[in-house]
Amino acid sequence: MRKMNNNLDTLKLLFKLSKMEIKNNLFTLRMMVLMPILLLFIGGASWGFSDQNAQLPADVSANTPFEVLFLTSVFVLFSATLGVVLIGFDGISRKKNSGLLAIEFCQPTSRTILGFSQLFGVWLTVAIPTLIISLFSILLIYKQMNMFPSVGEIILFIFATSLVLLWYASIQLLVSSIAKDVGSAVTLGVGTWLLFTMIWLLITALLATILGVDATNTDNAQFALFSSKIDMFSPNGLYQLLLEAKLENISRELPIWQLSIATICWTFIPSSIFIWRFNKLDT
Amino acid sequence: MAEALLELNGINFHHKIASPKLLKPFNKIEGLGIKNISLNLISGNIIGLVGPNGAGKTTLMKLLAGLLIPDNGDVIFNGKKLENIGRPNWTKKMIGMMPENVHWYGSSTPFKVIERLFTIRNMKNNNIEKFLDFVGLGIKAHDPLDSLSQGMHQRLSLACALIGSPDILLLDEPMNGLDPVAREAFAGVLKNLAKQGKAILISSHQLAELERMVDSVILMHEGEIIEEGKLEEIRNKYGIHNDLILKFKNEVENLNEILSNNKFNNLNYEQYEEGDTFTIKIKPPKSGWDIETKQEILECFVSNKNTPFDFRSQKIELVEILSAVTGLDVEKVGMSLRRKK
Repeated sequence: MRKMNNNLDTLKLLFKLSKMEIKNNLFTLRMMVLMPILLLFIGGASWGFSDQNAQLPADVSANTPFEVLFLTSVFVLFSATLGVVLIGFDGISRKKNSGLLAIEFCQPTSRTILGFSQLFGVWLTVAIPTLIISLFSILLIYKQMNMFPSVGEIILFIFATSLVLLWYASIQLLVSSIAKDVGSAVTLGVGTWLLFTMIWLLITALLATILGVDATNTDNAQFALFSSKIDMFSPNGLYQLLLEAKLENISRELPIWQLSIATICWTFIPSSIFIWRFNKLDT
Repeated sequence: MAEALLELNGINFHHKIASPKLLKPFNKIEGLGIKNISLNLISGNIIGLVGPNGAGKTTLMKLLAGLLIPDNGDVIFNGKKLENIGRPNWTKKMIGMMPENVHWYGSSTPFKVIERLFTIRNMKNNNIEKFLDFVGLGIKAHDPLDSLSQGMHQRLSLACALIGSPDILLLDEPMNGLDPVAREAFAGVLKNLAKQGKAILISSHQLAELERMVDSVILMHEGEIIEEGKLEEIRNKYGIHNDLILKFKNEVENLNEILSNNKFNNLNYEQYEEGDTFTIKIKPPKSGWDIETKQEILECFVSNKNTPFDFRSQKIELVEILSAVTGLDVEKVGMSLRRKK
């Protein structure tokens, strides 16, 4: 009973600290920059893709509300994950360099709780507005197509979007705990975002070439399977793979257990490494 | 005898410095640290921690605060030896740490900073303003950190250390950026806290202030405690005594005659111009000054119609004590304060 009360107190403390962290992050200049970006990217994309008069490339299908959400997910990757970078790139290094982290570490609270509050703070600061805008986007889609995505599709979209932002928050705080100054924090933070958002396809093609998979034609089935396997090692790739699971016209033949393991790994490994590092951090 | 709240026995610690190699990317080597440190923090005592840059003062503070884990040695809190090398939370409740040079900036406020720390400590937030009043920040409680002066930032750092009314206060360079009035107030606050039974360890390069404030000092050099005890005892042990300073409106022309007279033969002295006045600095005899000798020197000058307008003992900077104990030149000891000629 006593242990249960302790656990409850710990959860309450974690909730209070995370709330405080979110409050601090929400009313910053960075968020003021981010909010219109999220609104324009996610709201604008869903509005544009659901417009039945829009001329889309022949291989892009936006005939159902979920297909529109799937296309919008690309814009989530460009805006919301960048938001996590903006909020989290110096989440640890700033506190460390200012000396505030030393003060917090002197307090009689475990570093694990402090670390998780930091993680949830960064994650939810971006996830909450992103999800609100996503729900608003679903209304926009309804306005344009007169159809809602199914409840399962909405839950999958919200679940996957929340997860990808959590993965980015873990990565950002991890690299921020490694960064020694603002310069290296920016380099590492933006660098990891660029790696997964811009350079990943190049890495995939390079690996395919090395391993003898034909990368000259990205439409061939062998490359598609290969790239989806490699995509499991990227948060962006896995996010898209999760969403693709509900798309009827795409089949990459990846077993669901592989996707599940990749999801579990991305959810727990980076965050655990971050908490481990946070516990070892020298102020 | 008052109880030791915290004891360190034979503590060693070396910083681990990343030294990546081709096949060992996470390779680390042992860097500087502290060696064989033993000390007691006693209830009601203010101890000054003095040493040149790199002596290990901040490392020692961090070890005491539990921010660093010693390589070996014993840490004893309230008579209880810590078995685990990690620091349990109950010991952290006993310690308040004010790190050196905390950079307070941004749109947050002192109220929010303290509120967060109260929350981390699971304390109720209803007396934060009163708490900030104690360190003189009550009226600035809701001002952005960016708008506060350096002195106010220091007060905020002190406030952070005082949260939870800890028994042990570790203050790393707390005087930085404080004006003389604030320093005086700060010294008063510390003395009051010591009277309440708190053990205070304070490191500073503001040596003059430290000297007035502390009950005893710990001298550190190259990671080791080289001397500790009451300042006066250390001075006597190493024969460090004050110079005598006499100031005159005009140059004393027959200085050699006056001071070579009878019993003052062994004194070293010099006269130099300082603006519109002349100063004579007399080095102390090996045995130190006694009242009679000082009185006789003054009488000699007066009887020679050279009455000084100022007559006093020059304060010894701790750097000189440090220099005497380490055997290094004052310049090599590397302290920030230098005696003005």
